[in-house]
Amino acid sequence: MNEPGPAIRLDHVSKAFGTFRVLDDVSISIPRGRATVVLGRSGTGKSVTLRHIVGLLQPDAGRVFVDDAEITALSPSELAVVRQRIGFLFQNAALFDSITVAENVAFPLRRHSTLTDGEIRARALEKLAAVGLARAAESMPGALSGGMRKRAGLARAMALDPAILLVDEPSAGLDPVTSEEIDDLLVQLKAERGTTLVVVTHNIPSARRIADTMLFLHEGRVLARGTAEELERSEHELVRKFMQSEAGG
Amino acid sequence: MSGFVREVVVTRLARGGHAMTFAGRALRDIFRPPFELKETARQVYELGWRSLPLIAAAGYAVGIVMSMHTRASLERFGAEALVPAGLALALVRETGPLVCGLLLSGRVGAGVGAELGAMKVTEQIDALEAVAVDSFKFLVVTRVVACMIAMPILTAVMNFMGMLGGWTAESAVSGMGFEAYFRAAFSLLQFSDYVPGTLKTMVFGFIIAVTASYLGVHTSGGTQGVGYAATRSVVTASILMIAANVVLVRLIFFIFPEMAE
Amino acid sequence: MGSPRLALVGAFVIGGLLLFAVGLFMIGDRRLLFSEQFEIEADFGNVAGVEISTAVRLSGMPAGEVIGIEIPDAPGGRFVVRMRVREDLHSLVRTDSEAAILSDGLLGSAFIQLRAGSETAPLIPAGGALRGVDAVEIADLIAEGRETFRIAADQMVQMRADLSETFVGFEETISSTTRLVDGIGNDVQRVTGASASLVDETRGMVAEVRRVMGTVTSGQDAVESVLRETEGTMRAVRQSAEHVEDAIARFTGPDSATQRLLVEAGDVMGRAREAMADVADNTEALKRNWLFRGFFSERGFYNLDELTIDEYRTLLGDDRYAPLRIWLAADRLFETDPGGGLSLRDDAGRRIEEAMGELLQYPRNSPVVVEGYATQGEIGRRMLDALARAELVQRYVVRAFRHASGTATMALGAEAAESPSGDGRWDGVALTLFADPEQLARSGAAAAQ
Ligand SMILES: Nc1ncnc2c1ncn2[C@@H]1O[C@H](COP(=O)(O)OP(=O)(O)OP(=O)(O)O)[C@@H](O)[C@H]1O
Ligand SMILES: [Mg+2]
Repeated sequence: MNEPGPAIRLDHVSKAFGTFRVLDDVSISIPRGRATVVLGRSGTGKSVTLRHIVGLLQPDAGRVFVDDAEITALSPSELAVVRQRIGFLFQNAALFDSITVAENVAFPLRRHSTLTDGEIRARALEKLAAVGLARAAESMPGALSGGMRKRAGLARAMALDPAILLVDEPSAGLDPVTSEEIDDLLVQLKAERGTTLVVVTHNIPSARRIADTMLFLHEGRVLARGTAEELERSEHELVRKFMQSEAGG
Repeated sequence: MSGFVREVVVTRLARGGHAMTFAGRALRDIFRPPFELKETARQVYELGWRSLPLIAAAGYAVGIVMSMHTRASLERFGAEALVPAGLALALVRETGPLVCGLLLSGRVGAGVGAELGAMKVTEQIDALEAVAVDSFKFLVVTRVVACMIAMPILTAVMNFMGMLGGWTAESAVSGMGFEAYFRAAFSLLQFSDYVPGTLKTMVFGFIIAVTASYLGVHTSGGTQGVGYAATRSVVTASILMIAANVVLVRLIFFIFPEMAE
Repeated sequence: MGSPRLALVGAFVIGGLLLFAVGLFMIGDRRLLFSEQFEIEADFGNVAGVEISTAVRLSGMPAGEVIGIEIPDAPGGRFVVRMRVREDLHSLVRTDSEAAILSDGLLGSAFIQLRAGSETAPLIPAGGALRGVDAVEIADLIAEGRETFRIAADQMVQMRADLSETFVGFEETISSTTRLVDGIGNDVQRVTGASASLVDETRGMVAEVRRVMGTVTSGQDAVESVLRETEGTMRAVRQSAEHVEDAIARFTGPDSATQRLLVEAGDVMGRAREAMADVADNTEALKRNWLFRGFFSERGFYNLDELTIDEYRTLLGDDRYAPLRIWLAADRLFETDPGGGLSLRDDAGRRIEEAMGELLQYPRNSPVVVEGYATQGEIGRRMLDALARAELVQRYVVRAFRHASGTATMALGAEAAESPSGDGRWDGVALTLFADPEQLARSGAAAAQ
């Protein structure tokens, strides 16, 4: 974990769906043990960027590095090893809906840990408690509200105590109080474990609470990067306008 | 216009090749560790065990109906004594495997197509990948193996239930005893009818599961796409299975020439 | 995946495998793969329908299967069929056992039938060879059927003659009855009316039967339809006759003269019934003959009309047919009434019966030829007498023994080489039975008188 260099690096990455260029020669470097918040208007490729990091999408051009390993050049088994170090909260949670919430959280542990059944259960319940979902452990995902699903998804993403946590809109659909609790949890993770955080959000107050650095994506490019203060003083009006909003956009 | 046609043909071919690659990968991954044994067992439960009532009931009904029809035609030649053997031969060689395959492609094809389709559109497949699970092995290979295990077993059940149905119909007409009926039923059967007839259903199972998985995994277009994947799975799997059957029958005749009479 | 579910999956897989294995076992068991067995072989000129795994039965019981067929080296050689047979049936398979290729009905598959051997013969050793009895080919059966049909057609012609005779008799009866009771009373009027309509009805039926018979050219259908029609007609006629008889019986006339007439009428009815019995016999014979192949037909002839006297004599000399003859002298059988007509003497019946009694020890499908001989007069006269004598005796034989299927007459004139008179001539008849030498040998028959 103490290797030098950024935890994640996108090197001149371009990605198009059909004729629509989502990422256009994007280069990003995400520092280790810090929290990076990705901002941008809807549909600008924030989720697409996260997917590139875990290798769910391959760039048309350019390379993606995680811990200096080139994701795009790894064999499936090598990729699997890298993926075990990354937690991913999907924008729509993507819970496995054929098993209970607790089993969802336990799933990565069952696959990749040598823990006993009891230990796995205890760990899963602990993660669920951390996101305030201890009581919903035995529910099926279909029975949860959108916000609950989101938190369950976060619990699953944290299950293996990953060194890198990719979080796609943690506070979407959450009330301000819960949202704040989640932000605190993420900050705490970073502080206690040195977890590298990449958080996509539209919630500026939340972004301010979490972020060490911020990236602003626009029309396939990084329009601005820096601390919250730097972005407030950005030369681009869109960025300044974004930073002035109080709630999610 | 011709450009358009060419494009359609090329995309079709590309998709066919894509599907073939998918099938080839499924076949190869069956034998490659790690094996998802637990998940496979779960799929055997879902696809096999839970198809039992359907297969048993259908087999029983098919047996009764076929027995009545065979009897009606054989009676004209005074060959009622051949009813059990005729029924058994028809069941074991073709009717059992094919009806079982069609029923399973209905139940499993739609089920797997829709399930994987839904997993695809709700990003559950991506989520699996993201937690470092080989989604192909976990979702596709397990279902393919489960189907290949379940098909011959279900076919054996269907054959048995069919003969039971035949016996029910026969004993209602002629009061024939259970044991006598089964002896008569097996009187013309050869290993070359029974073994290839049952084992070829493993190929059916492969086709059904691979088709449904392929269409499920490649679902796009939300909820509507899921429904589409389910329907297409049933239709495509049935057609492919019937076509494969023709080839298989030829192949079996080639390997067991004494069957071809 | 909970453990109860895992148990269900286990049950499902194991149960399925068991079910499959039971099927394998049922087939294997039928093929005797699980019981001790021995091998034997048999040779056949024709192995139609036999293949590997064709069933073998011993006296109908499932006994094994064919495991191989060896092809002969040269045309005309015999195929050797190797079979596997249950060891527990070994004691029944002896060196004199035979194997035949049979099939379960027309549609059924072929199987090999083993005949258990005789008790005195030794057990067949494992690998030993049995005698194969060749199957009768369908084509042979059809050819045979055609021959049988020809005979049947001949018989139908005879039957037609009988039938018309019957109806002549029957009509006579009814009309004489009608005449008798004419004008006696109202009761009788009714009877008469009924009779008349019956007569019309039966005439119609007879005409129909004649028409059908006239159109008969070939085919089993024709024979069957004739038989059906004839039987139907006969039934109707019999009923009519019974009605008339009934009416006569119930009628109590006013005077003794009428009574006497009624008795007479009853006699006439009786004769008509007798004639009907003839037809019935012939119908029976036709049916029987249709169903089995006659002894002669097997050898290519039967209708003696086609034989010259010389050919017939050659036939008599032919050992293959082992003719058995019983000679009956004319003076013991016949009497000539004043009008010159020939008839049987009162005790002739007993003599013929005695002679037939001798012949009836042989299979009933052996044809009996009544040969007629006559020594008086010149050649034409002799032949006519001979024929009349033969026919008279044949008619008696047929009536008494219902031996209609296999009797024929043959007028031979005066010459009779083996006659007991010693002078090479005979005056009278000879009952000659042509027997199948194989059947004769089996029944161990005595020589002819
Ligand atoms: N698999 C895909 N196939 C085709 N187009 C895609 C795919 N994934 C993303 N896109 C397109 O890429 C663009 C960026 O998508 P992305 O999900 O990254 O947006 P986003 O920035 O996360 O937006 P939001 O804030 O609404 O979540 C969108 O226009 C989307 O339509
Ligand atoms: Mg997004």
